[in-house]
Amino acid sequence: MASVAKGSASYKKKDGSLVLEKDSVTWTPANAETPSLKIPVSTITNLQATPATVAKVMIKVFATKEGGATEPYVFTFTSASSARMEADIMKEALTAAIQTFKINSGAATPSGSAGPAATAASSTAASGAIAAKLAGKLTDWSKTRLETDLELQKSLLKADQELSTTFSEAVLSGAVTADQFWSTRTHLLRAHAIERGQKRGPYNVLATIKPKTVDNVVKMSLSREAIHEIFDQHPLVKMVYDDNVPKLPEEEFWSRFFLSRLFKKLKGDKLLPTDNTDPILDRYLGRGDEENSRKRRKVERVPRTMDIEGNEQNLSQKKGNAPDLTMRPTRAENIPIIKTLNSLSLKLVDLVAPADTDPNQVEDQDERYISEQRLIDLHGDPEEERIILNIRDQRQFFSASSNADKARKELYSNLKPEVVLQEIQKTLGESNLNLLTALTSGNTGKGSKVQLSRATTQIVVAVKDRREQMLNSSGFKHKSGGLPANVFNSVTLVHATTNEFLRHFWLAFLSGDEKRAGDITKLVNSLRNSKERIASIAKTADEEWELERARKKKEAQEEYKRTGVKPKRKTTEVGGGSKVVEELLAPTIVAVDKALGKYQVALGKVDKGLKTAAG
Amino acid sequence: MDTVDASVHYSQAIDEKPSLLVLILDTNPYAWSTLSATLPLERALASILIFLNAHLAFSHANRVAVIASHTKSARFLYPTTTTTTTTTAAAAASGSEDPLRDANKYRQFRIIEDQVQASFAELMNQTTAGELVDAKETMMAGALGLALGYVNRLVRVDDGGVLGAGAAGEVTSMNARILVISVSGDLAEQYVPVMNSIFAAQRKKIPIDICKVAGETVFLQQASDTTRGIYMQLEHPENLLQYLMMCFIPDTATRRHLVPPTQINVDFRAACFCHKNVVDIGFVCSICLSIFCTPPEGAICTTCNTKLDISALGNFGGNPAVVLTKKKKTKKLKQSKATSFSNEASATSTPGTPAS
Repeated sequence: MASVAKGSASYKKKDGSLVLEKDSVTWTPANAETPSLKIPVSTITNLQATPATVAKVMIKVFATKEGGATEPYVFTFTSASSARMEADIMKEALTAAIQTFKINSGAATPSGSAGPAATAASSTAASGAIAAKLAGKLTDWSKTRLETDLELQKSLLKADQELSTTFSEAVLSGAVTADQFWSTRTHLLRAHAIERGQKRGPYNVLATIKPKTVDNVVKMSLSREAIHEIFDQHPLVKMVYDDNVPKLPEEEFWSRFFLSRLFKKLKGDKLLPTDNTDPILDRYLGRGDEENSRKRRKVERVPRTMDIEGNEQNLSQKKGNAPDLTMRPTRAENIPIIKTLNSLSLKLVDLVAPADTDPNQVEDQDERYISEQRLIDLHGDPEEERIILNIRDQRQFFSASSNADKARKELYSNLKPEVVLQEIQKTLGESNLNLLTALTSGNTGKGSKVQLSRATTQIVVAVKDRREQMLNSSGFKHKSGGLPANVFNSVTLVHATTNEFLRHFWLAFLSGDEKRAGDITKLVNSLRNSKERIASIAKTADEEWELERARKKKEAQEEYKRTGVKPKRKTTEVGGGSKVVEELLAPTIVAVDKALGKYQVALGKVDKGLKTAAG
Repeated sequence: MDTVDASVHYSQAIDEKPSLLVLILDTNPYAWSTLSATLPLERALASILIFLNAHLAFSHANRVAVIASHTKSARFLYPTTTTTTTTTAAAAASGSEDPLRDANKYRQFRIIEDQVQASFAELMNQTTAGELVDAKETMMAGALGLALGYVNRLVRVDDGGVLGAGAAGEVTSMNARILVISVSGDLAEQYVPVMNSIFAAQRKKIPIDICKVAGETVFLQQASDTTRGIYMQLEHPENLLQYLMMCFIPDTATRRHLVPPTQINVDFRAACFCHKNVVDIGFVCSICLSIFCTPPEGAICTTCNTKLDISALGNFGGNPAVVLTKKKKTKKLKQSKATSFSNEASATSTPGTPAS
């Protein structure tokens, strides 16, 4: 059998080699001939690899065994020199193999499943699949793709703890299916996919590497990735490395490098006379990193408007706008640092391929720069391009059958307009009111004081409610309302899942789609269960509250015995209990009741309809 | 002498801007008539006048305006253009000495009391019984529009003189607020203009306070909520003055330091444009944001005439699916028993199903 990819890897701490063949992954121990482990590609459900920044290179393969259980297999790549590369190849080949398998088995193409084609054919198919996948990754944020991307969903759940608890409550142990769950969260998936698709740009590697002191020994950890970055950013280091490493062990090279003056110089630090000298590395101090490094971004054509080269012979001072007055070369001490940082930043920018320019539109650049420089203020007002909204006269819709209007008409129907008007005209028609007497008019006199205090109470209560709310939102008072942490957690959980159920219930209920009737009945059951769960949480909250109160009371008594001082009442007060739970979940309960009520009404209608149909 | 000065110095400039209060009084005669048992109009008017005087007493630069939201129109009660004649007429009618020379009353108070009452009486005298027959609402939208226009004019005019055209509209020379004393019911007909007024007020940072004496309105609640005003539904309307003085007297600058007595629960539902019903679930035109309780006829928005694509809706909002499915299910059961029902079942289940 021809192998697609292979690498030396250890499994369960035993060395061996991992080989990917056409339709299975096999692992053979180092001293054995025949493979001791064979995972058919068809059973693989998931694949994970350690990121490039981690020194340890591992691949985790999830495969379903007979019986449906998923088992992870972890392979650690052991090759000293090329573990990362082998792993990458293996990963890609595996992904491709799984892809082709899925395509072949999923689609009704008999040629694929028959597939006696040689490895070459399958590998080309595989590479095609990879290309397709890469292309898809960049552009395809469509709903269907996102909702079927299991890997993406898993990683989103991993990233969002709250979502994952909701998921496990609503989907794993509830009535909502995974498809339903994700169908309402496409936006989250899309955001996550885009977030994952983003690549981190280059950064100043040398500045991020910091020595750590462990047991009086300065230690540094350096990942492959970091070394690669260093070589990329500082070709001088690569040159030094190439010149010396066969002679010098790699580890020693790096340890000397990080202590050397060369490192300090590249980083942009000031060199001190007390710095270590290094016979090998100091030789390179004089060479400029700059000259042999600038991989300039290729600029095909500089737009005329900003091409300074034409001005070259007219430029008297190249050092800036004004001539240097002191005429001394290194006046300011930190200029080298500034220069290094500047050149480093330039390099970093050069390393990134510009994403915002379209190479096809180079010709328009002159025009673009010119238009940028135009003084817009001098032009007249631009013509407004607005969409005209034709608003029709609203009144014609008002007159007919307005329910509110009817209600009001009924409210005032027993009043005769003439009487009403006369009454008011009489009140106002006389000479000006005497405010004092007018204030007491219509008052029985005795009850006025009581009513006054009642009005005051209403206002004060409103202010108190409001203050409570404001303090709560600014975090003065504890958010949980005195509930113990576990009870509060279950309250938030039941709230989240009930909302989930409600959302799917309404979606299904209002969809008018018959196929979802089964979903609706399931969701109605879940909603009923939610109510029971709320009740049980309230019960536990009460129990906890009793316990807490008993404990506090006991404490207070002991305190009293010990000190002889009567404890203040406040210390024995305990928050929480079922009252708080009910308060917190009252809107949820109302919502559930409303949903269930609507369902009952709809159900009743059906029954009625049936009866009439039957009768 | 050498002790450290530890007293706190407030370097922060205190907002000394005068404040403008625009009071909108719902003058629906029916509503006041029903209220006469608990809160007779004269008492309410006296309370309001005392409240206005209290507002003016805070600073000589404070201003007030009173707008009547009547059954078919909205108009200013104070300040008015025709006031001089009416007041002098009233004064002459009363037969006493010139009211403006009354030694026992601050002149500004007197002017406002007289003018508000006179123009209110005039408004009522001009109203005929015939006009009232089929006009039972209140022109709240018009009144809000007048109030906003007045506020804008006062603030902008003062601005323009001092700061020039460039800064006009950005810096306000007065803190304005609107207080609505509402006695009648819902405003569903005026949903659109009221909402527009609310958003204008929100933009101009003018709080709209609602003093709800009677009736139920959803939209005035939203008005106070979006403009960060105070909403108060009076439980004891006979003590209007107490409510006015305790809730509504602080101006916008003072409110920053106070906990407002706003009632917390706000009903955010909207009214549909087609039947003026308050809806839980509605359909919104994607062009002009009109709200409908069901997709409009022929999928053409009744407000802006836009042809809407409602194919994506499917059967959403139609008959709840549970009806049809249940039917089908039970029918299926029956089908197994007696096949004679099968035709009927398919016939009854088809109308509601979407074409897809």
